[in-house]
Amino acid sequence: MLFRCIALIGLLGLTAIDLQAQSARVDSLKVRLKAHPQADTVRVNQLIELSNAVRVDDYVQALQFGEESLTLARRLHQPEREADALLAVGGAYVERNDYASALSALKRAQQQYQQLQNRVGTGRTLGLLGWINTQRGDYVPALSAGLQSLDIARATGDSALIRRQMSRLGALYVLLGDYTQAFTYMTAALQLYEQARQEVGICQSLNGLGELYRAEGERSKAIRSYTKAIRLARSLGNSRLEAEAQSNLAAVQVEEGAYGEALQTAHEALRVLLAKGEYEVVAWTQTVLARAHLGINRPDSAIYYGQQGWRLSRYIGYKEASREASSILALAYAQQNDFTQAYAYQQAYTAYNDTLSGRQTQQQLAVLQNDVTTAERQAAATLRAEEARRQQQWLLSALIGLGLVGIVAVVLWRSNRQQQRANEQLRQQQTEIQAAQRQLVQREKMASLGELTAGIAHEIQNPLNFVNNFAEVSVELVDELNEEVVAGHTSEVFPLTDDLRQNLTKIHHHGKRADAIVKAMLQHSRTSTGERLPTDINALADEYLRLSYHGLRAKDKDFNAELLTRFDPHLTNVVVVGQDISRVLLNLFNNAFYAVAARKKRLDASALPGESDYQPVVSISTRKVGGAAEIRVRDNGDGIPDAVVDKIFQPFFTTKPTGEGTGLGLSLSYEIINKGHGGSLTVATKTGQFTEFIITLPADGQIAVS
Amino acid sequence: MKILVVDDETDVQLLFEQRFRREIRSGSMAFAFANSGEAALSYLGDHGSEAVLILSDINMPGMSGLELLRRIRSSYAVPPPIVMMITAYGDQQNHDMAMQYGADDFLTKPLDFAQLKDKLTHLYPQ
Repeated sequence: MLFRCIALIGLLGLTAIDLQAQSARVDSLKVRLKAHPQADTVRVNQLIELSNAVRVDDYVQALQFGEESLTLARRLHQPEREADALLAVGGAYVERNDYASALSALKRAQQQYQQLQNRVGTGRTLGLLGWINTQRGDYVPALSAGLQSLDIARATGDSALIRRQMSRLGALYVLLGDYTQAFTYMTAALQLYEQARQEVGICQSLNGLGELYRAEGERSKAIRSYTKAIRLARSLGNSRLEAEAQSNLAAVQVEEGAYGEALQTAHEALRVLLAKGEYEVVAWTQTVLARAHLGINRPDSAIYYGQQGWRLSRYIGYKEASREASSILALAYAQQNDFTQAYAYQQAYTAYNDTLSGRQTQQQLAVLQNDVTTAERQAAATLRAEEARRQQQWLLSALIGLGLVGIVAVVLWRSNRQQQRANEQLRQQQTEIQAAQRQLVQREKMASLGELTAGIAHEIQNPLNFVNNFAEVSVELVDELNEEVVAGHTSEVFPLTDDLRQNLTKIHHHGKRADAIVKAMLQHSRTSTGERLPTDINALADEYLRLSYHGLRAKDKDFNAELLTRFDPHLTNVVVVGQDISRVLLNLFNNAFYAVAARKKRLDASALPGESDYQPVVSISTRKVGGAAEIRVRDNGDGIPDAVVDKIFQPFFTTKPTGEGTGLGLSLSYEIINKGHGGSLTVATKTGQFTEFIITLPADGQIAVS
Repeated sequence: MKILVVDDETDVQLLFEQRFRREIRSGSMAFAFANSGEAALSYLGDHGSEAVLILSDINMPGMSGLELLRRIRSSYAVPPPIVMMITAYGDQQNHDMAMQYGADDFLTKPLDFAQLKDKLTHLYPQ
């Protein structure tokens, strides 16, 4: 069974008359406002009246008029008008589904009206406050404020407010599951609107009655009420009301299993509702669409609309729709065998049930208690007519006090909820940031792979050159060998077979070399396995030095550098994660070549080309220090300025032009050496002279001396 | 005909000696090897215009083949040796640059020795 609030938004308007008359009235009000630019009480009243009149159709304007009237009333020191203006502003915020701002404006209005002992204003404000709480699913304060408002309306003879409160309370009782009370209020409201010939109100009451019937499971009665409401709305030319009733009709059609009709009705409604910005009903209609798609076994579409309804209802804080959406999403994901998602939404559904229905029991108790209080009060009133007024006043102030306590509780609860929401948001942001970081790390890997590719092309061509040529020349040697054997020149046989043996050794050697390069490339792009193996650090460093160098050469033909290597032969068996260390080395080499190339370019720009005597040098040296392995990568580039040397290991720090560096190379290297291998990566540099990165890999048994 | 081969890959020497085994034996060709641009320049400095043909790799650490070509063309003008460039990157830019610096030919790795032999014996006869 679905419960939801009926959108009674039109009821917030102070007078509900037919639409054309309404727009004519708005126009004339605007003309009068223009004719009266003086900042005085007349203008304040006009602004408030305009704000109330345009509220339903255009809350933006309503807010503007309301805010202007508020400022003006304050400047004129007219607390009564100020309270009216606050009420108008609050009403406009309700239309915007901005409940927090609405609550704050209405609370101030309520205080102001109470100070002024303006009971009509207090009653109207309480009615609106109760309605907001109904929309938000906070039913206890909703009922308390709603009943107070109705009492005041009766006491002051505010017939417009009586009608509205009847209608609002009827809707609230539907949500609370008290259908007897709901029926009493709904039919009373319908009668009152009929007496007053207020057709918008009639239409909304019909819609509300439909909701009641639907909640009771009386589908045919529900359909009749909705159909009447739709017809009336159409004759009034009020497309918003029509769409609202249509969205409800679609919900019954879904319950009836008439999914095709439901989809059509709901889509029609959705178009109008989206255009009018009626987000609560939009969210609701999306869940209706989702439910219908679920019915025709289209879990994809159900998820699509379910997600939309879920997001929107969560955003505006419309819990009934969130509950419905989570229930649908749980079912739809389960149909798709995505049980993780299904479980998550099932959890959400349970939580919403607890908030709404768990509290519902509590609320039914509150309803009963309230009923008892009302009955007692009425009995006392008839018995002691003389004392009634005094007692009522006392009760009223007690109720207002209660209302205030309730509001304070609501505010506290809401701030707590906001805190939770903020925490949730933070968690979500954290997850997003982590995902983004993973992507960046992957991009960094791919970027350095791109730099590698050109180097690889060159490095593979060289061994292939030897493999092909030594193989070909060996065929020639075999032919020659045959000739010599046939001719009986046995002395020539051994030199030839020696050559053959040598060639085959060379082919094997260069084949292995190509193999190692391809393996390195694959390893580089692959995620690290984290496996520590005895590795020939010298061979690794040599290989990546060449790859890096040729990579840069492929991009910049004019570039060249002297490569110096000084390898300690004792470091052929260091236990490391080879893939990770090669990534670090490649990164350091790339940086080194980048630095010397930059310096060369700078010097060439100031001297004649090729005239500067600067010779770029990049060197690599390894050394065994105690049990530890030390690797130094040095370049004679411009060095790193003191101002930034502390930052180079920070993630995303880069001195390269935008788009050229990810700023992750050194920070990743740092992680790999310090955290991954328990070693250290440090830098020594002198501006204008050199930069040297020093990797130290610790002894602690990881180094097996060859 | 004396040919200077410049390449940082040391196995190039072995390869050429085998590929041109017969020519070396018959004395129609002689080879010298240098494994850097610098070494090639110093060889040329010591042996004057002894080498009539130079085969040079482009991509070498230190002085590149193109730089070597540029220097040969500016310093060893008379008589100008034939210079053929070899590279693993058979791209247009390298080719254009080599031609602009005055290379006589441009070959790509893996080297086609049959073609090279043909060029040496027919296009650039003694």
